[in-house]
This record gives sequence, C-alpha cells and structure tokens, in this order.
Amino acid sequence: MQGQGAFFSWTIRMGAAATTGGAVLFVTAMSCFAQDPGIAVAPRPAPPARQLEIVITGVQKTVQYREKEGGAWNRVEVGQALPVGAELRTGLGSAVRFRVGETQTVTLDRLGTIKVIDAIEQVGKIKTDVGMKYGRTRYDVEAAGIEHESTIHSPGASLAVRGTLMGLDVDPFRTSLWSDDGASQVDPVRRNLQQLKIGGKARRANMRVRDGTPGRTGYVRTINDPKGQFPRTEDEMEALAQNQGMGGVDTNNVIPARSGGGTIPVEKSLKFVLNWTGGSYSTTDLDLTVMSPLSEFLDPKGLLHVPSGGKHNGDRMGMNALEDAAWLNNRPGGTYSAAGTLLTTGDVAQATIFVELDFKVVQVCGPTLLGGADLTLTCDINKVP
Amino acid sequence: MDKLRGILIIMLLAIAAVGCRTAQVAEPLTQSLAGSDEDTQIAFWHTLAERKLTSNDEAMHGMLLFLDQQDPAEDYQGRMDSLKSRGLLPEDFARPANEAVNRGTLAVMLVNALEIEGGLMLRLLPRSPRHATRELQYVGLYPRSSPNQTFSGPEFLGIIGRAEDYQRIHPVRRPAKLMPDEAGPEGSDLESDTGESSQAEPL
Repeated sequence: MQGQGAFFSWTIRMGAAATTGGAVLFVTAMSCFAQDPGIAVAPRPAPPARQLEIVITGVQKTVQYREKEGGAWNRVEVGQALPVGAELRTGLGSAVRFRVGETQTVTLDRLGTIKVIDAIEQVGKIKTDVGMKYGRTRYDVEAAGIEHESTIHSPGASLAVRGTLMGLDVDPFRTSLWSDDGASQVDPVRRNLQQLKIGGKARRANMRVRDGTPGRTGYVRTINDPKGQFPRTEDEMEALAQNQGMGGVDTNNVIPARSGGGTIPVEKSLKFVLNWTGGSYSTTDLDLTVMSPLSEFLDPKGLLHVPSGGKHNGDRMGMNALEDAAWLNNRPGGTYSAAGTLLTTGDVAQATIFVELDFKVVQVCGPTLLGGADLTLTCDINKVP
Repeated sequence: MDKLRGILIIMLLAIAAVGCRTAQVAEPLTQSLAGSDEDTQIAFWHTLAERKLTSNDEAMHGMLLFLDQQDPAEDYQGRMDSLKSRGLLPEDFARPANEAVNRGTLAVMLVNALEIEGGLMLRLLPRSPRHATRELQYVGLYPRSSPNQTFSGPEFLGIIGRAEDYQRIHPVRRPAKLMPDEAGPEGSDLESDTGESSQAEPL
C-alpha cells in the first residue's frame, strides 16, 4: 500500500510539474506572440550614404592618377577632385597629398601607389578604405566628434586607423607602421598571426618586424648583455633572452638565475637544420617547418617563436643555403615532426635535414632530390627526452 | 653500388650544370622605357615594380635616374661608362646587360653615391661588394643579404626608396599635412623611445 501511495504521490507531483512547466511555456510563447506586432513595424530607413569628396591639396614633382583600373595615367594637379576608385602613383622624389572629406588628410610619399576604395559618410560616421600596394602613406584624422572608420589595406597588413596620426610603410622586405596619440589595429594577412593592437591614448608602442610583436620588442630590449649585441649571433641572442641572469625571461622556469657575463648556459637543446644545394636560382626557396610535441608550429613564413622556447632563424633563399629551428635552453619532450619543402616552381634542389640533440647529430634525413612531384622531405624524431 | 655511384655522378653533374646559372631578364625595361622625361620615368619605376627580376641595365638606368633625375646614355655601355667615370662601378665590371643584378654590385654603387664611409674594411676596400652589402645592412638600407643575391623589381624599388630617404635625411614619421620637402614645427617628428633614428634601425 505504501508503495502504491508513493507511486501516486510521485505521479501527482510529476503531473503538477508538467502542468506548471506547460503553463510557463504557454505564457512565454504568448508573450512572444504578443510582441510580434511591435517587431513587424518597419524600421526607420537609414539616411543615404554620402560620398566624400577627394581633393588634391599638394603635389611634389611627378604624380599621376587614373580614374579606374586599366585606364590611362595622367598628371594630377592641386585642387583637382578625384572620384572614389581613383589610383595615384608617385615617382622618385615625388609626393601627393589629398583630403578626404573635411577631416582626413592622406599623403603618399615617393615611389608608391595608392587607391581610394571607399569614402562615405553615413549616420554621422565616416568610413574610408584606402589600398596601398607599396610605398609609404601617412594619414591624419582631425578629431571632430565624428566617428571615423578608416583602413589602409596593403599586401602585408591592414591598418585600422583609430588615432589622429598614423602611417604605414610597405616594401617587400618589411611592413612597418607608426601611430601617435591614439590606438590602431593591424590585421596581418597571414592567418596564423593574431590581430595586433598598438598604442592607446597618450602612449605609443614600438615593434620591430623581426621580433613579431610589440611585447617581444620590449622583452628583447630588457636584455642586459655586457658584451653588447655585435658579437652575438641570433641564436645566442635567443639563448640570452631566455636567461634570467641577464634580464631575460625563462619561459619554463627551469633555468637558475646567474650573474651576467661569461658563456651562455645551455641545458637541453634540440636543433633542426635544413641544408640544400643545387638550387637553380639565387631565389630558390625551401622552407623548414617544425611541429613540437605541444602542437606548436614553427614556420619561416609564419611564427618564428613559440611559447615553449622554440625559434626559427627565418626564411632563407639561395642556390645553396640552410634554415634552422631550435629549442636552445629547454625543450618539451615527445615527438617532433620536421619537413623541408621546395617552394620554387620548376626548380630542383638536394635537401637534407639534420637533427641535433644537445649538440650531437642524432638523426639525418636525406639527402633527397626535391623537384617535380616530390617537393617535401619529412623527418620525425620520437621520444625526445 | 655502381648504380648508386652512377646516380650520384649524374646528380653532381646536374648540380654543376644548373647550380651556377645566373638568372637572366628576357626583355629589360630599358628597351621600351629608357627615356628621361618624367612620365616615362614614373612608368619605368612602376612597371619595374611588377617584374620578377631587375637586370644590370635596369638597375644602372634606375641608379642614374636616382642620381641625376635623367639618363642621357643611349645604351648599357653608356650607362656603365657614366657610372665608372664617377667611381661608382669598378673599372673591370663587365657583366651582361640582361643578367640579374647582384646586390653587391648595387651596394657598391649606393655606398659610393650616398658617401657612406663605413668601417675600416669598407674604407680600405671601397669597391668590395661584400663590405658594401654589410654596411648597407648596418645602416638599414638593405635587409640581411648575400652580395650574390639579386633583387626582384619591387625589392629594387624599395631599396631605391630607402636610399632616397637616406639621401634626403628626412624623418619618416611626420604628420601627413607636411609634404616631404616641407619643414615641420619643431618636435613634430616622432622619435623612438630609445632615441634611435628609424634609419639606423636594422631590418
């Protein structure tokens, strides 16, 4: 009987809960339906976008423009108005300055090309897109209480202008930018690099391209090397950067602090060296990539540093050359996968990967002739202590 | 074993045959855009920026435009003679016109044209491509390079742009309101926190 009573009691409780839940759902659904007429009201139409005026305000030496891609190039003059989509190019020792709307000034310096992709004002917001293939652009925005959304696009990065004075300098060797009074944001074109914010109100950030981030630039500058920088190779600098005794930071907290000077201590090192010979051109390009046991990926065209301390010495080209990647002071244990890939189309090269553990060659992969359909040499090393 | 040795010999022969080949430029721009008028000059620079290689002839034409804003020479020989007479090229330089330019060759021209004194070795050997290249790396005009490497068109353009900056000693970081030849208000140029100039910043 007691069992039957408990069963009925449970049934009643569940029934009551179901009824209550249903009621709640019903009320909620009804309240949603009740709001429908409000949603159905047509939104107020946004005011139409107004095209901003682009006017040339200064020309130095030879500057040409064309109204659209594929058109003829003509000389540009001060006071001339240009349509959106116009391209400008400067010669040696030349420069051109133009105004976009009332608040933005852009100057393109020597040997550059720039295109105004978009320049509109809508609902109190000014949006400007400028494309620069190469050259140097300086950009001023006069803070006038209007929101600006201005971007300079280049093959290497896009600079979103947030401050009042910014610039972007693009050539095949580096992309550099600067910012004064305000922050900016850079979106690297490579997917594996993160968005980068620089500066802020009343402060500036410095970044050297070889360091990769402003944080690393600041970090490298903290190193106190009594021998100066000249006698050091990059690998030595990296080892130094991880040595606490000289102002570096030990990312793995395993290296004891020591006084400065003398030989750099090396605890556990691992190095991969890709060597190639017989390339046909001085631009023959092979890339050494290494995957660590922590799934970090060192890539000469991507990340040159990884948090566990691994470092790639950068992209190299040539008929005979080498690239290396190393964990100099410490290394995560496990399996590492390295690969050497020939990137130059139609080329051949003989590639070898050497693996050095604590400065002893423990494995050699190759030599292998890369070319045609066979473009990659792989080399795995297992159970690295 | 014999088969392996045979493959090795074939590979070595293949490497010897193609390994020392110098890249050539099939149709140097100087054939069509060698004029000295300003429109042709600007067309030369921006067409070169689309090319994969820069030839000796194009580099010397560009160098003369950089130095004199004109190139009266009618051919490659005339350009070489002009540069040799100024001491910018070694007297024994005789590379073909359509061969890809060496970074070392251009470095010697730039070091001498920009009157970069350099260190002891460059002063002792002012025509040394190796020391000229290293000096240009030091002053920030060149990336890390071998004197035997060459330049693509856009790379050459980038180097000439930097050389122009160096020559004019104009600060890079200035408001867009100011044209390159205009003097800005004192203190308007930005400096790095360490006081280093941007030109001295190594690549």
